[in-house]
Amino acid sequence: MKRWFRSPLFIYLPMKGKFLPIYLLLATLWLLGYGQLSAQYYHRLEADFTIKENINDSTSSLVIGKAFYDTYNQKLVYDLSFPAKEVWVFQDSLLYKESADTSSMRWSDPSAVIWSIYHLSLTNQLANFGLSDSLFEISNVEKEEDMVITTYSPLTPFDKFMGPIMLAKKGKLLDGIVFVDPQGRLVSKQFYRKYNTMGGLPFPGKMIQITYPEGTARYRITEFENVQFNQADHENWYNYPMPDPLDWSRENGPIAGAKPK
Amino acid sequence: MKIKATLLLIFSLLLSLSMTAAGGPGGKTSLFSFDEKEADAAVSHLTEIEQIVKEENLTLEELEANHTELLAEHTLLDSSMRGPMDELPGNIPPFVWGFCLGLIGVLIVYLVTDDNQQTQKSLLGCLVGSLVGGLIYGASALLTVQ
Repeated sequence: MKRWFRSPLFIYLPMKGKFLPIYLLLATLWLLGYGQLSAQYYHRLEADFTIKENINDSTSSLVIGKAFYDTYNQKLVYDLSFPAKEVWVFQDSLLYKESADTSSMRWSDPSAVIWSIYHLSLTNQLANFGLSDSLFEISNVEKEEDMVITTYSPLTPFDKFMGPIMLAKKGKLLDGIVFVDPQGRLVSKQFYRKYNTMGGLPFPGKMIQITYPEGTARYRITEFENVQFNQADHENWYNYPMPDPLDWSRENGPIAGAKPK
Repeated sequence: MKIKATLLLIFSLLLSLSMTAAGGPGGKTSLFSFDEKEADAAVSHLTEIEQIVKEENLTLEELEANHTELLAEHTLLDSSMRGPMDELPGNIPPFVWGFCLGLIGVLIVYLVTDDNQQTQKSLLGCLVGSLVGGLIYGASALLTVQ
């Protein structure tokens, strides 16, 4: 037994003919590597979602639908069934809405797509909320209980307008985000729960956002079901046709909203 | 006696250090705590509506026509007013955008939401922020003069 600890692993084991642990070790490493690689090749994601929100004591919002996102064309399509049957298509700087009898187009901020949970998940950026390559830099990392809390501070001169963002990770998964204003006052919190990991790619089943307008907590809970990656069955949704903006504006007048720069 | 007092002091210091390291009172862990049951309870009235809507494949218009009792105490917004992506980054309210970022915040709210009500709120935030900033500046100037 003493020789086991004194001898280098790869010399001792062949000598005794116990190759099984090495095979197991190599197989595990290969599987882990394969999981990582296969996660990198996911480019499509679809999910059923429900968003519930209490706006105030008497007003609420309920949105039910299905989301389709493809990183290749960066097109995010919502097939909404409630409150109304509508299709929303986000691509580049445009949002195209279509229902049974009407359609509309307006300019939209591109961050709506690249900061969406679908894009962040497929591009393996969800764990750091896409803050690695942004206007923020890591200013502090600390371990508290079972969480690693990373503070991202805005770069100068944006620190005059934005406060730091704190990210809590449990293991490799994003657990929560806290937004504060430049004066350090709490603005918003987000929590990610019920993760499902498919082929090495984690995706939360529940997302809770808390804001504090007028001092009281307002909750927005998004639940995801039937999350599927790289589905080939719904080509028509992933490539949902969006009219050419020039043709659109010729027929319907100028596109609503202001064009993002 | 002195030894006891020293040991007590060391023990107190170690305890306070371990509490800080573990995210005890004053730690950042408390920032990441929330009552999930309270969050679920805040939207629990929507769960019943969600079940009926999914079972009967209803739109809001159809729900309003066929299940008035479900909407007796709550008004549901329609998607033209609010949707899955009609939100500001971080879900930060428009007032705060205007208050903290001033006119830049108002511009961000306008570009992201394209919603007049939201933009007005951010503008209000901008005005309040400017007033507060002006008051603080004025007060500090007065104190400096005195």
